This record gives sequence, structure tokens and C-alpha cells, in this order.
Amino acid sequence: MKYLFKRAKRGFWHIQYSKAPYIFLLPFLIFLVSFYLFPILYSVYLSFTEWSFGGFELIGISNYVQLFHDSMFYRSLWHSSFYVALTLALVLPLSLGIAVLLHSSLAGKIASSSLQKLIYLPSITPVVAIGIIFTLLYEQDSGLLNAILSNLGLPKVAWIASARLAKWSIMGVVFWRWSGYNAVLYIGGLKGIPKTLYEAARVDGANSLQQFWRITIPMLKPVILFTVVMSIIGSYMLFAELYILTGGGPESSTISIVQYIYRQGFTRYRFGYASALTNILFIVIFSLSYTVLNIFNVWEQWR
Amino acid sequence: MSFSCMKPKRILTVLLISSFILVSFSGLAQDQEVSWPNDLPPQQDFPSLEGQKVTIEIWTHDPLYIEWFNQTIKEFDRLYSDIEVEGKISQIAPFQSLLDKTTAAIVSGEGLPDIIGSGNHTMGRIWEKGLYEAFMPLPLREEGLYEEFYEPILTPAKRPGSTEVYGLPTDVPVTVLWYREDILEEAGCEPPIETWDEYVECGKKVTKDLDGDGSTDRWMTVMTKNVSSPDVVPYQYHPIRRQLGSQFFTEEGEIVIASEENAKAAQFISDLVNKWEIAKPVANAFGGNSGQALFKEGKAATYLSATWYLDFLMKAYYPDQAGKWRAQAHPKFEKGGLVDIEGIGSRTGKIGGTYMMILKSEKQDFVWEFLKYSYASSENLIRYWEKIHYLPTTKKALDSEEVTGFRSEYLGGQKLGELYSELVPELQPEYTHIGLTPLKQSLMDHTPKLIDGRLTGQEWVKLLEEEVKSMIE
Repeated sequence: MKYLFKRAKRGFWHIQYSKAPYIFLLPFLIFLVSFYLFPILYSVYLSFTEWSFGGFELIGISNYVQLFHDSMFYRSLWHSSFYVALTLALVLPLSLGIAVLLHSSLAGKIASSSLQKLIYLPSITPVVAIGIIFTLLYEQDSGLLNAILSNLGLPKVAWIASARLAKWSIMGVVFWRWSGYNAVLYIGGLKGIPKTLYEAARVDGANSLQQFWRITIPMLKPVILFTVVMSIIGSYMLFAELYILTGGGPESSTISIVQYIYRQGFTRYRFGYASALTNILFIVIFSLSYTVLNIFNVWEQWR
Repeated sequence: MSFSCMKPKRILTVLLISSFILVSFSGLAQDQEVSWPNDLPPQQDFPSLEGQKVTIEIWTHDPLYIEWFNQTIKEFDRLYSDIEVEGKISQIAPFQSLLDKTTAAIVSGEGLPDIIGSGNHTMGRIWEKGLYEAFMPLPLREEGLYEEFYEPILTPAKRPGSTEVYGLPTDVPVTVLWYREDILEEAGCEPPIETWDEYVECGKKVTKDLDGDGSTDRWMTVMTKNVSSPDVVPYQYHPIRRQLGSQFFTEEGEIVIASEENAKAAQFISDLVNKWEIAKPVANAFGGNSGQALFKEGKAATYLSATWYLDFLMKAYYPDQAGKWRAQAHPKFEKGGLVDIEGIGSRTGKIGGTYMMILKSEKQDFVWEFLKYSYASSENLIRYWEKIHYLPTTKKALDSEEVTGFRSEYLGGQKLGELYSELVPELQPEYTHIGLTPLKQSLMDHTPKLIDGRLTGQEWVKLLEEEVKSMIE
């Protein structure tokens, strides 16, 4: 009896021990399945349905067929791609410039530290507040920017009221909001580069530009990869700034793909169609991010 | 006798008696007798609810509605001594999200309120996906209440192609022409302006380069061009369109966006900007920040808008201009003049409007009884007008002395209630449709083309109609 009890006890602890990791992981797994996996799979299912008050009706691939004939889909995807391209071509290089400037001894240690905090602030400012402030700044007749231009004797500019200019004005907000955030990431990367590399380069006669291209950029590669991928995802997901500033207008000149998804899903209750758009957006972002990762891998091998 | 010569004991006694009297009177005020309004069908019994506590949950975007419901729910509770009635009233902001939240509740079947206040601009979404099946058609005809209202006030809540009405109106936001009397008089005009011809002529005098720098500083009006929300565009077009009696959709559910009247109304607002150059295009809603800045600085003289414009914008943004503003009916359209459009005699339009809708439930009849008490009785609607100054919706309440005799201090003592009462019967019906939401999106997208003069009124309405048709197919 005693033997049996001992054995049972040992077996119990054995089972307990082997299951322990799963028990510890369970809360996270429940969260992951409920809020990530299930919604993703459900959205795939929804994309093959059409919703009405009676419920969801399976309609096959109709939503996808319609999507490829929808000019607004192409237009909004083009706008989002424009935001991505401009972020990669302007925001990230400028952020790197700011980071290098702040990291250099020229700015001074105290000034550099304070400036880092200051430039990081926009990224933690609530987006609604940003939207309202920029609406006031961009206002054509009573906005601050045009007041400055008028005082300088220059004509007023239709910052967000012109279909040609609005996209660029939106990019102004994006730059203001995210350049500081990216710069702080770059500064973190710059701090991790051993100074000995620069010293050795100087001994070998490399000038500042050569040091930048041959040491700084290669050594920052992991941070650059991170910022590039996050910027691609973030720019494709651009929504709140547009929603508040322009609502996608004027004349749909600023509408992003996420905003179009929102319109279809939440102003017209076309949840199936919105899900189809979302899945296509996922494929676009995934492909682009995958390509970027491969490019960086090729770069690594080539180096 | 002065207090100084009174003994402390006597003072205390006087104070105690006074307090007692005051408390008694305040108690009386709270227990004011409540009776079922005479103009409503007899109060019903609800035996199944007797002895129970019934919570009526209401979602609205407007805090003034909350104020009103809080009052009526207390009274309603006193009317039903055997039922304990409690209100749970929530403000949902921003107002665009109210229907989203309701839809989520309908789909999930959880947390549904009993009443929602839906803007007439969101009705299209209710019809589009069959959401109306979750709402109770209101038995206005069966109970003889339909005739109590001017029909155009009810039509936005009518389901397309049917006679069922799903919402009880809470307000009649008829439009008037708000104008700065001092500016018009200084320019040599003689307000009130009778016809749109006169308006254009007057506009040419008002629109001026005041400082001689070669650019215009003062305008007759402003014209909304760009907005960031499809729910609010394009102001001034809708009042004019409705003055002409034109529809976007017929009662039978036909799409008539490209009608001749809609095109004429569109061309007219474009002409105000491009041909006669008396209207300044501005961004955003309600004339937008740019527009409001112009009014605030006295650089714009008139604006067509609804009843709520007075409290929400004029009094709030430029209180210092009290006494300078006046209201009048829209000028008339007359064929053969400068503005060569034949009107139908109406001198008003409508912008906005909220409709209280009941979600189906076991207690829906009781909720309907409550809603009737709050918004279908002229007796109560007159109190509503006196309390929050939203124009009552029944014919009887609109014609009451309390409404017609109302003078606005902001408008220099003008009899504003009388003007409103005169205009409501001239209101033209408007029907909602599943195409309403796509139309609002198209209006937002294409209005700049009209205001810039890139499209004629005819081209513009045709574009809108084609786009709406393609979107709902």
C-alpha cells in the first residue's frame, strides 16, 4: 500500500513537471488564439461571405473578383504605397541624419540627451491631438502656416484642401511624428558601434564620408532593417492621421488602403469585402517585408 | 423692527419655520402631479410588467436629449405606479459611432439598448443591410398619431418602398437664411431679401475689397468645398435643393440624383462662387474653420443653415455679434431673372434631424409608450421647446403660443419661433435609401469639382448618380 502510494505520488509529480511549461504558457496561448489566430482565420472565412441582418452568406470568391475590378482599391493601394515609398526615401534617411547629428560630439552631451527626449515626444503624443493641431496649422485661411507665409508676403497655400498637395502635407505629419522615433532607434544603434573601428579607419586615412558608408551604415544594418520593415508596415497601416486631417479627401486624393477598408467595413457594413481587402493588404505587406529581408540577406552575403 | 433687537431664540424660531416652509414647497415641486397627455391615445396597462423593475436603456449623441429623457423617465415612472421604471441613458460620441455600436450590439445580440437616436443621414445604412429588421416599426397610423406631424418630418424615417416609419423625430431643423443686418444695410441692401435675384444683387454690393489691396476681404457668403467627413457635405446645397423640392431618391426607391432640379441647385451654388463671385469657397463643415473665422471677423454676411446653427455656432463662436444677426426665410426662386430657376414656392429646407428608434424586445410596447410620452405629445413637446429649445415636431406644438411667441435676444428680439412655425409647413419631403451612404461618400469626393467650376451642375449630379448606382450594384 505504502509502495503504491509512493509510486502514485512520484507519478503525479512527474506528470506535473512535464505539463508545467504548457500550463505556464496557457494564458498566453489562450490570448494568442483568441485575439490573433482566430481573428485572422475568421477574416479569411469572412472574405468569402457577404453579411446582412440575416447573417453571413457564403459567396465564394466574388469579393476577390470584385476587388480586382474596383478602381478605388487600386487608388487607395497606390496612395498607401506612395506613403511607404516616401517614408523609406525621405523619413528614414532624414531620421538617420538627425541621429548622426545628435550622436556626434558637436551637439554636446547635454543638448543631445535633451534633444533626444524632445524629438521622441511626437511619437507618444495622442494621434487625435496631432490631427487637430495639424488641422489648425494647415487651415487655409486662418492656419498658422499660411499666416506666416502671408506675413512674408507669400501667397497662401491649400495645404490639405488641394488634391495635389494634400498627400505631401500628410507626409509632413508622418515625418514630424516618426522621424524622432526612428532617430532614437538609430542613436541606440550608433552607440553600439565600437569607437575603435572609427579610430582604425582614421589611422588608415578614411575621411568622414568613407567612415559613414563603410562603418556606420553596415554596422547599423540590423537597426536599419528593423526601421525599414516597421516603416513599411506602419505606412501601409496609416489611418488615424488621415481620418482626422482629410478623411481621405479632397477628391479621395489621400485615401489609404486601410481607410478604404474602414469605409467598406464600417460605413457600409460590407464586412466580407473589407475582409477580402484586408487579406490582400496582408499579402502585400508580407511580400514586401519578405523581399526586404531577402535584400538585407543578400547585402550581408555580398559584404 | 430690526434683527438686532430680536432675541436669538426668536430668530431661530423664524429661521426654523422658514426652512420648514421652503422644504415643504420643494417637496411639492418634486411630487408635481403627472398626467397622461390628452393628445395621446389612452395610457395602456402592462399586466406582464406589474411589480417589476423595467430599465429603459437609451443611446444618444446629444446631451440635451439626455436632459429631456431624464425628466420624462421620472414622470413616466410616476404614471405607472405598479411598475418601477428606470432610465439608463448614455451619450455615444462621436455621433457617427452610435450606429456602429448599435450594429455591433445587434450582430452579437449583446448589450442592446431599447432606444437609439439615429441621424437621418445614417438611415441608408439601416436600410442597406436589412438592419431595420432589428427595429420596431412605429404604429403611428394605427394610433392616429401620423396626422399630428407634417409628413416631410417623418419621411426620412420611412423605409424605402414601404409605409412603415421606424423613427420618431426629435427636432425639425428647418433652414433659414442667417444674415448680418448691419452689413447688408451698410452695403445698401434692404433686408429681408425676397428673391435669389435680389440676393445676388445684394451680394455684389457686399462682396468687397475693403482695404484696397486688390483682393476681396468681405463676402456675401461662404461655400463649403472640402470636408473630412461624408456626413456633413455639402452645406448650403441641401437647403437649396430641398427648397426646390428635389429628391435624391423617390418614395418608391428610385434613384433620381441626376434630376433637373438637383442639377439646377448645384449649378446655382457653383454660380455663387464662380459666376457672381459672391461666395468664398472654404474648407470643412459648417463653413469650416475658415468660414467661421470670416464670420467672426465680420467678413461674411449670410449663411443658409438650420435651427441649430444659432446655438451651436453663432452664439458660441461670436457672442459679441448679438443683436447684429437676423433670420429670414430663404429668398424665393423666380423664373426669368438673374437666377433663372422656377421654384415651387417653398422658402425653406432641412439639414439634419434625429429619429428615436426602438429596438425590438419583449418590452418594446412599453418602450413605445414611453417614447410617445417623450416625443409624440404636443403638451410635452411644448415643455421640451421651453426646456431645451429644439423645435417641437407636432403641428399643434409648432402652432402653440409658446413657440410662435418666442423671441431671440441674440437676433435683436426677432420673433424666431413665428418664423420657424411659418416655414415648417413649407418643408418638402425627403426619402432615404440604401444608396444614401455611398451618395454621401460621392458628395464628399466630388464636391470640390463643382465648387471649383470644373464640373457643371448637370455633369456633377450625373457623376454622383452613376457612382452611387455602381456602388450599390
